[in-house]
Amino acid sequence: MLFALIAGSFVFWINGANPFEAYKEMFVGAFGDGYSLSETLVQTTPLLFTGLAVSLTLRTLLWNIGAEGQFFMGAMGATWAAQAFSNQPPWILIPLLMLSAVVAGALWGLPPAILKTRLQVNEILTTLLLNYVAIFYVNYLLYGPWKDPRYPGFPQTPRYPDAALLHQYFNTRLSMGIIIGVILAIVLYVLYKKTGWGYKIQVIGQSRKTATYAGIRVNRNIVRVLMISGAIAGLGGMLQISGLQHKLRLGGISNNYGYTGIIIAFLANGNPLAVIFVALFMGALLVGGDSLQMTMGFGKGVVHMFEGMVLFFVLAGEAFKRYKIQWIKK
Amino acid sequence: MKPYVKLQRITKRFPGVLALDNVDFDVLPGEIHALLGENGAGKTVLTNILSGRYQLDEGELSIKGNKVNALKWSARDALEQGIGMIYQDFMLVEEHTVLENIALADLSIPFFPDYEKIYNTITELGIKYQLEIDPNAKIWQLSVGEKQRVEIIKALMHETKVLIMDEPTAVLTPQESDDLFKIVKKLAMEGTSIIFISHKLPEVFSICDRITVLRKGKHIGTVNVTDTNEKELAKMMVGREVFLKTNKAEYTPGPPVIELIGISALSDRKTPALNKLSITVNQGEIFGLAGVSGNGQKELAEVITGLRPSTDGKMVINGKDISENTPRKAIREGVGHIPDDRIGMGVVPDLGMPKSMVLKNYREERFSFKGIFLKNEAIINYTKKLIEKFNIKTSGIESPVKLLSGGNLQKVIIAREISESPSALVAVHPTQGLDVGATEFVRDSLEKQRIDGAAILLISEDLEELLAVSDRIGVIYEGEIVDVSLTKDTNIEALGLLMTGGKIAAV
Repeated sequence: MLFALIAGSFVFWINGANPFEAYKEMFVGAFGDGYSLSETLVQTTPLLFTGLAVSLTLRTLLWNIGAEGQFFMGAMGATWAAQAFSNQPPWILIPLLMLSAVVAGALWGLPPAILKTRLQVNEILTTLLLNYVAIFYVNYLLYGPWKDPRYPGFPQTPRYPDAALLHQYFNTRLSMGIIIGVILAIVLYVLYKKTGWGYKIQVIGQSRKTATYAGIRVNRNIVRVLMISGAIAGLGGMLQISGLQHKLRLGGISNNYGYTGIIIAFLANGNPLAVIFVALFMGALLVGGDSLQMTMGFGKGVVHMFEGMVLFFVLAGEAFKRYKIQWIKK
Repeated sequence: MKPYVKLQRITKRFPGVLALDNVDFDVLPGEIHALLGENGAGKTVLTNILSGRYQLDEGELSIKGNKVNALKWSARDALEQGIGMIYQDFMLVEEHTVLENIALADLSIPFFPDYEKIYNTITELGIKYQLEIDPNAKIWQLSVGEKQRVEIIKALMHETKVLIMDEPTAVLTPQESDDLFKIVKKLAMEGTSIIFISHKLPEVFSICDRITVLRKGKHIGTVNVTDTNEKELAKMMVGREVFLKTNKAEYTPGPPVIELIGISALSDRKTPALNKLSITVNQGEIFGLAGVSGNGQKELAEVITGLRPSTDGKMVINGKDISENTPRKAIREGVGHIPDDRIGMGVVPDLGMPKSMVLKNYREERFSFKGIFLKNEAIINYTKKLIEKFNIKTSGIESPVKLLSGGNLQKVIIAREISESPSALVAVHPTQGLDVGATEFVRDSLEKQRIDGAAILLISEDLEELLAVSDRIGVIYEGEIVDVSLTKDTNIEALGLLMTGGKIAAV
């Protein structure tokens, strides 16, 4: 962590800025006032969902690289529901959107699960490749059948009906998504720690052989886990649109949330409560980085470089944590 | 004749094990020398020392009568002196062609291998030794017998003087074995010495000149094939030591619990492992299954416990037809399983003891509310009770079970498997690698289960153990039960003969 900050300083320094200034700016930008805090939480929300989605599969020693695609599919599913049932009242429409997003996300997790359990195809590749399918399919919809006829030049859908939107609190862009995310994290934590299902998942993650020996139906549970993981990411996609973007549009859906979710789950070591805090840290990094662009006049590239650097060192630090440095006298 | 290789007073220690104890061994030019012994006798260690893979601790080594620095004997030295070894699991790159694999055998692997020359050599050797093989085929496309040919060609490329073959026929069909014997004989005739490791007496007699028998790391004897017979060799192999009989209750078997009728199953390599095998284990008996490993024991245990599907035949447990078995069904029918792979299968290695103890019964009402929420406290209390009852030594109930000693680990598994009063119990090598105290504990536990009326199938390679604890002993050979007799009606020589494919009439 310290290394990360030092390396980050270096990035700032070669760009001709005082690193301490920069860090202060970042912190203020992320937490300094009500507005920046709310923005941090807005960024945290989708990360929370993708992080939780990946953390679930991580417990069974599977890698779901597909949270990004599932996030897109969730957003798409929600948009479909918003268009199909546009004249329903909010208390019907919002749950419908959620349901639709959850189903879309789960279905996107299904093919890799089937390939994994039937043909032993590596889930890392299949989930990753399905991301591109999802993203390009959404692209197609936005350029084609779902394009808002009033703005033919823009690849975006019409605004959701008001009944499909989540309330934004305190005049900020923050919606109930963050609360749902935190509740979901707690629910998952209880599931892992207190239920037979969580125990089963843990045994599968530890040793497939032991699980089979104990009469646990490993394949069935792997399919379930990948689908639930997809559903969580999908729900994140729905909340992103309903709570923030208000319409499906290119570029606005995901800021690589699916991929960042992988890092979050890894750093949180699969613990859903830890995911909350790591997601918050990542959210702050994003917002703080943005504010650097504005206040210190850094280019976007510099900020991304800094973010990448921090992640690299945090991840490397994780690996080193397992070893102790020892000086050997010659 | 002067021996090509001579090993004198070889000693090799592994942590806690004396693998070879003052062993002498030599190989004459052009002879086929069999190395016989049970698993763990030290055959593989001896050959690995010869091929330079292991370094010896004490002893001397001479090549063609010249003493070499035995303590620094390396794999490269061995190759340079023409000592080649064909391992049981082949050392081939599956995705590469035969040609590329053989090119790898060239010690100096040039940047641009001369493929054409190698191709021609392969063809030449192929004609000379009837080692037909397509040099352009990929390794994964080949049968096991063909892969072995590739290994032999690889060895021949070095002008091998001594070729070590570690159980070469274990993976071959009888036809492929015959082909192999022809090749081996031809090589020997041209002056190559062959060291032939095997468990199977008939084939040893059909091709070998001399036989060295090892037992528990000791050199028991070296004899000429013409001066001995199968019976004597079996005795040399398994020994004739006095062993303790456990105090056994009278043998009063109840009705059958495990019944297998004409069961067939495939091995992991999809080759036939069980061949229309039938077996019955009754209530209140310990049925010992003897056999050299790789003759279908593992597959049999897995079929009964539902881990491996059977391809043919009928299986009945407690009078219920469960030919379509799954681990869940087996557990429901009360089939306990003490697996061979304790760490990998028997427990959850990185988790604490409670999570290994309730592995099979966590769904029960006493450990979870409606099978959903675990009663963690009840699970911990249950674990503590078992720790006390079975006297398991642990540094802490939540410390990872993989840190337990072998004996304590086995106690965890046994505690779990027998606390549920199983109707049947499949125990695979339950005392392997355990010290005397733990071994005694395991045997006592099996005996207690027997008195309580469980049907126990004990799979072991330790004949003394089988004779000490079983009521009946069956012998498995090439996926079939070749003999079943009451323990009092059989003896170690007869079993040793049967499990190596000999006929009982020879006794």
